Amino acid sequence: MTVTRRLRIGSIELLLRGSGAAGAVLNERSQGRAFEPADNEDPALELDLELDPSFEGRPASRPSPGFDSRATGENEIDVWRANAEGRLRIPAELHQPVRGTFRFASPMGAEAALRLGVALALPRRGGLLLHSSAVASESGVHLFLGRSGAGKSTIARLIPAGGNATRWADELVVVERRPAPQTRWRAVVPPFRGDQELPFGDSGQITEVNFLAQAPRHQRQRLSPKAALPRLLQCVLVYADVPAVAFAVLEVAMKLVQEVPCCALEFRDTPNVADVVLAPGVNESVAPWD
Amino acid sequence: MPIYQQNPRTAGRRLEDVVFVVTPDDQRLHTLNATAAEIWECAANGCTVEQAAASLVEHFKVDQSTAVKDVEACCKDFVSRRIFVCE
Repeated sequence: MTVTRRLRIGSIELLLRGSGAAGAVLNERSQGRAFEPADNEDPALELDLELDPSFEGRPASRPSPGFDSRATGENEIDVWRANAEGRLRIPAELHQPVRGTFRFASPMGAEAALRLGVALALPRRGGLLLHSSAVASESGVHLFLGRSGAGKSTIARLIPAGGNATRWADELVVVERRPAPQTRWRAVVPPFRGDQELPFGDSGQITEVNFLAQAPRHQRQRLSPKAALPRLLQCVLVYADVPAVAFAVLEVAMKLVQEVPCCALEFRDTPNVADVVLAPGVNESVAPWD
Repeated sequence: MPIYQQNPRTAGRRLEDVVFVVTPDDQRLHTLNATAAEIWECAANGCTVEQAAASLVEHFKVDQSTAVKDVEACCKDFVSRRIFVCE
């Protein structure tokens, strides 16, 4: 029996199909509050999923949860890691959905496939999946970007301990541009693996983007768009083997750094970093562009 | 005479006075300064070294012979980085 689920992450709709045991995984994943209900719009991503406990994939050279990838055509890539492999087609026409088939050995493989598909589909609809933690305050959502070890989880724990904010995301955040007069840039907590207390599915307006570095003292400096762009691109979760994906990512990233204040944030492991991040008017008082 | 052209398998955009180019094959981001950005833009539809050098002379304080040398070196570097293709 094949199970079909239409789900939503942020503003993109997903069409997922799974047969046999994969259908059970889909049922389990979609029953939680993590996914928003779909509106039956044209999906941005279509995935066929097959769970095969005996499947043994090729080990990837990237650290988990990354996939290795190889372009197999102008708009097609093969991806693999130890417990999953798949093929994705990324049409040049942005209105066409990304389509993929995946085989995996465990439910973790299903989540990895979904995360990868979302990372490829989002830029085509004006969004990005970022390596970022976040806190929410009265002024909106504050993003903290960095690669592994930069302190994303640490700062998302420190700021609520030192100021009036709530921990919002630990590792991954969806950002997307909404047309005026709605919120221009909003963040969404995606329904991927993480602390179960995180508000999966919540969304909020982005106040600013902070690029993290741990240091002996707290210091925040405003970045120009051209200084922010390379830092942002390092934190975009995507496989850019396909030119159409690279174009879309670059386009969205450029808009983000031009329309949302970006800062370099140095911090040490003390809760009073909240004073730097949450101080009223901080966006106006930071140093001019470097 | 070689014709240099932006590699169609790359994504590039100007931001202020620099150009960012992503080369998907090796997943690298290249940041081009103002003069390199001028050469990159000249090659949008293909150009010779002489054509790109003329553009540098027009927009920057550089003489023709220096511009030709700089453009030659830059174009070779761009080809090695797969930012340009050469016909």
